[in-house]
Amino acid sequence: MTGTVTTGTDTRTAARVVDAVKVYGSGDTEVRALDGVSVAFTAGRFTAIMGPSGSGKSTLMHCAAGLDTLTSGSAFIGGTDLSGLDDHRLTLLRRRHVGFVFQAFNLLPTLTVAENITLPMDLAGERPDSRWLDALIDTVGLRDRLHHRPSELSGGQQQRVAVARAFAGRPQVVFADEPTGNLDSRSGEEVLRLLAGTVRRTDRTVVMVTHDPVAAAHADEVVFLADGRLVDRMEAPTAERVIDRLKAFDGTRHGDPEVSP
Amino acid sequence: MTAGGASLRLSRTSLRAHKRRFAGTFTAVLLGVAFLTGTLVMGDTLRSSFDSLFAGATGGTDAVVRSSAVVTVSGDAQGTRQPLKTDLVARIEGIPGVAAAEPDIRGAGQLIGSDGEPVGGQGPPTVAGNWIPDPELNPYRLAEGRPPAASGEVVINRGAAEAGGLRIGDTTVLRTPDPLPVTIVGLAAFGGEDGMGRTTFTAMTRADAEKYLTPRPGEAASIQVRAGPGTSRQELVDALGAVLPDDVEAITGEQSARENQEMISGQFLSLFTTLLLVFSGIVLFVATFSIYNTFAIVIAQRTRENALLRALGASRRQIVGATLVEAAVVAVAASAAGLLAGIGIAAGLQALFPAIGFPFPDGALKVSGVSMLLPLAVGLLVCLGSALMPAVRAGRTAPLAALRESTVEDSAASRKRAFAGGALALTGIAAILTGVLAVPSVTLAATGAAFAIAAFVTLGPVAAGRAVRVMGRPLDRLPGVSGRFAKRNALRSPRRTAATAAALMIGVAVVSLFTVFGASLKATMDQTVSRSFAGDVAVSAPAFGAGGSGLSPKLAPAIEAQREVRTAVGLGQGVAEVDGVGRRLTVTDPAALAEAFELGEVRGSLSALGKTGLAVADTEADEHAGGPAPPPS
Ligand SMILES: Nc1ncnc2c1ncn2[C@@H]1O[C@H](COP(=O)(O)OP(=O)(O)OP(=O)(O)O)[C@@H](O)[C@H]1O
Ligand SMILES: [Mg+2]
Repeated sequence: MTGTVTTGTDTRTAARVVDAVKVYGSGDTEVRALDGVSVAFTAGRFTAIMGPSGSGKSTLMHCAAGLDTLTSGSAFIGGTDLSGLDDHRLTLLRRRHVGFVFQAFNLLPTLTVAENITLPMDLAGERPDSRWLDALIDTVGLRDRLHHRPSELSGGQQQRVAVARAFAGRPQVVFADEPTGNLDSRSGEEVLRLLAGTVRRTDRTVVMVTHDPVAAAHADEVVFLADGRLVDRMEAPTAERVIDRLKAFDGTRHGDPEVSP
Repeated sequence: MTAGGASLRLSRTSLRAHKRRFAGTFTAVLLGVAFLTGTLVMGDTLRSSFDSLFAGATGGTDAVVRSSAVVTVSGDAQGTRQPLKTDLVARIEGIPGVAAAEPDIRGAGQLIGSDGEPVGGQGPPTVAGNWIPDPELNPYRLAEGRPPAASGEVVINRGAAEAGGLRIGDTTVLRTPDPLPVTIVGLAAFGGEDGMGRTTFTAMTRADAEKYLTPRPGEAASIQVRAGPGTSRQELVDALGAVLPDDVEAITGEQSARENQEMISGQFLSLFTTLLLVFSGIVLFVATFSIYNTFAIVIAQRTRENALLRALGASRRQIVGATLVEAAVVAVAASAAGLLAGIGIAAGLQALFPAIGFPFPDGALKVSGVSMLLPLAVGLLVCLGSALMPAVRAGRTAPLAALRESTVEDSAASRKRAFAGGALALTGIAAILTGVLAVPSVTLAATGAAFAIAAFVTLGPVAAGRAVRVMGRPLDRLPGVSGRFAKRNALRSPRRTAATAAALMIGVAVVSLFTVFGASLKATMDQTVSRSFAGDVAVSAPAFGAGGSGLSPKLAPAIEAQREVRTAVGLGQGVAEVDGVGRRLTVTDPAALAEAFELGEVRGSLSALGKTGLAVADTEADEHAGGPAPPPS
């Protein structure tokens, strides 16, 4: 490993899962969405999660972020073991230490852009850091849209608001599940630059699920999932290398029709 | 901004977004609160106008002397008192500090109007009494004409004169209840108004009053006393108390006025207030369903928003809070509008009353703190109470619901629901059957009915699916897709379908309640009469309870004297204290009664009752087991 990982085994870890198992259903309908995954997301880095459809990417993200609970194994945000937390503590932890960007429906339609951005802090009853917020709003380029409602924005603009909201409270880690999935390549590129730029300039941590090798190329590192297991990692990815890796992958999993392009 | 502030802001923006949805809720709460407010404001206003009315009319009476033994029965808070001997008047006049004392002789007196019909009909009390010459002690003031001076001359209150089309100089009949020809020589006012409520009052000379209004001459209902200069009302009452016999008491004029006023205002108030209260109760009851329904729908629509909020760190309590704040805002706005509408209702009634012949003294509406706060609290409570369940459900939204498209109703919950509903239904039916058949008990049956309603509401979502599937079958055969879509939409959220149906169900239940109640009441009365009535003809007169004229006791013998009649028996009413509890009695001649009515088995002898004997129904005898009781007073 290279880059910011400098302190040996006890690196600055923003989030990690250990022997994570997630089973949906039971009996005939049992699905092992995660089958013993251990992975750590280093602080200050931008990590992409890739893998075929149904490989457990979203499940991994939900469990690591405290939106869902593991069947066995443990998940940590910073040094906090999520399995020991009740619903209320998990809620507080998400509020303080985790940011989210979803593929769609990120914003409350009844709130303005500005209100959406500060929502996690409003819920916590905290005053946002106005300098940080100002810088963020300038970065996402939405200063003239602050008092609009989400329905008055384009899809790309909405995702940029979501990115600003995710970083507004300076969480330990931001999870993004296919944040560019609904966007055309230009808007997607903008959102990805935003994510990568914020990570580098302000030492933030982002974990992003994506299908798109071009999107993955913005990350510092890619981890590959297949059938609920961690199968590979790649440092300093480029789109070509990711595509090659996925092709190789395709070969090993002969004939899976769901494999991503 | 605080955490509570976030809840507030969320509810505010959500309210703005769902304005239209809340219109029904708003109207329901508004109506309920309006009726409640109207009732309270009108009650206060009437009471306060009666206050000033009575204060003006009876201000000159410093003390009232009356018999202290009183028998009260339910529905008549004032009770019935024994008459006083009028010779007490002379003794009272002799007490130091007394300026004047006058007997107040009261009895039934129904005036016949110029059209030959009784004035006031079955409505208000029809009272006759003596004209008290001392203007300070007489609550009525002569407005026109002169006081009665000779036998057969009367003064009547102006309201009665107007209602009966009677004028000074007219001759008419006063039923006391025996018909008495009278000549109107004057018209009187009560506290500046045309009368004391709609009570008709006929005043005659004291000699006439003693002769026609009381069973024996020399008796009065009470004695009005005026204090001399320098004697306070309390001193007067104390002085009287020291001298009066044990079974006679003295009270201050204020207290007497208050009691009279409660009786009069109570009578008129209860009719309108009961009506309005029942109405507001029903409206608020239906409102709970409408509110529940609205919030259940709003929350179902907002599942993704609430889930997103949960994902972003909103606690359950914040979601519940936001929903309840929303309900509270609707409640406060609707209740405030309801308060205004209620005051409007009261003002409308105030304007309407004189039109129906009820003197509603002019004056500002009395809007007290209670009549504002109580409806507000009720509106708030109803709103928050019915929004609570949907709010709690909203709080339970899983954060992941934001990421999944649809929510599925889980069958485990509906099985639990079916079970709970079934248990409620069984309990309800058992309670109703027990309450109706085994131990007749209204409370038990009513509790059972409440359980049954709860059971239907609980079972609704389970039953709705099945009902729609069965009743929706013809829809499938309709050409086009509308029918199928309609059915599928109704099936999509059985809970929502059921909640809508429940509101309707309550409405139908209320209507059937009144229909069945009315029909049963009539059937019961028919049955009671036909079961025991062995006679051929019943004679009755419309009259207001014991204060009206009723029929003359002389009528039964007169009817019996007819060639075509074998037996006629009179039935009277009275009150008595049995085991310390006031009871209404029907009094009659039991021996004659046995010929006209089927009395069943008679233990003892009816003809041996004599003047102090008493025959009672066997159910009464069983209830008050024991030997022969002393005669009632
Ligand atoms: N709530 C659930 N109940 C049952 N099975 C589920 C549930 N959620 C996910 N799964 C299953 O778990 C497996 C992993 O799902 P997951 O959503 O994590 O895949 P993914 O890698 O994110 O796929 P995609 O790229 O299509 O989004 C899949 O087989 C899915 O069918
Ligand atoms: Mg996914």
